[in-house]
Amino acid sequence: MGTYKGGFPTYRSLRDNLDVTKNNYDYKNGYFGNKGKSSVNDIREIYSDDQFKEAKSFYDKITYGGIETPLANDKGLITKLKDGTIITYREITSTINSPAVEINIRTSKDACGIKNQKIHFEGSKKK
Amino acid sequence: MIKTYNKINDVEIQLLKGFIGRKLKNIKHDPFIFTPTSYGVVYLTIDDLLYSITDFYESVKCLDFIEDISVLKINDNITEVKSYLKDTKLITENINQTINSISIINGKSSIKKNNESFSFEDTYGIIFTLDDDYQFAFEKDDFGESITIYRGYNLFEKFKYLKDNFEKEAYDISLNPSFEFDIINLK
Repeated sequence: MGTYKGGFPTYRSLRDNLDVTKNNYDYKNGYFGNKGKSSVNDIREIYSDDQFKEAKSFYDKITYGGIETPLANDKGLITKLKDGTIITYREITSTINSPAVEINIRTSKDACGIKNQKIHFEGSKKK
Repeated sequence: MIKTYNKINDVEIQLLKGFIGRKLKNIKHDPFIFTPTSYGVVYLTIDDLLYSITDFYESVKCLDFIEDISVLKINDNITEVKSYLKDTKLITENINQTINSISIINGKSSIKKNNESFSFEDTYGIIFTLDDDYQFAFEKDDFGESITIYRGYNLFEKFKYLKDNFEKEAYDISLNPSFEFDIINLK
């Protein structure tokens, strides 16, 4: 039913993990990365030489100290943070070779300015 | 105008209509940890029959892009009751109240880009009104496959953020984003 993620002695909230995440990725106005190919603001892109490793690294940073449960289809992980933020890591999406991390603050009590968003991790075009 | 849809269909609306006047005995969902959400599915026992509300990704054309978007569906003929999270046992929440009405929360979003208009109609949630106007609402997740379960009164209030969110946040104002609710009330 989910396991505690990380070695911290208490459950953590989105606020606790924001600095380390912001320090490692482009961040502006509540969004990580850059706007994707469409006009919509909440579909984002982050480029990396190894997009799968980068997506997992991003997910691990922002979910540290939450409760993590694997999806039953083995295609991803979901973590709930203490404030109610839900973060999903999906290794396989309908976009080929583009894992995604979804940040859902709909039930968060303390989203700290972070917006709902889906971040696609893409192979190296720019870093 | 380029129109695309992700709404509950007529067969599902008829299925929901058939719930009116019957007893919602219980719902089954994932244990609530920090949030009142269940991953991908909530089961409903109505009289002695089992139904489900599901919310799973499909690749959907939405306005000017194609993306994995969660699709809210109503299902009968349930053959297996299970969580879509690993090693998770569903909990049963007894309700035992009559379903007096159901509201389907549809919305139509639109933008204008490069002299082309796009519209997208989606179902965002379903509200069951029970005895004494007490309500259960099931809201789909735009960024994941979870279903959020609300309970209380006047639960349409929970959905009102959608309009502001779309018109002020989702798109640049230069694309004239607009959002209108189109609620179907079943009694």
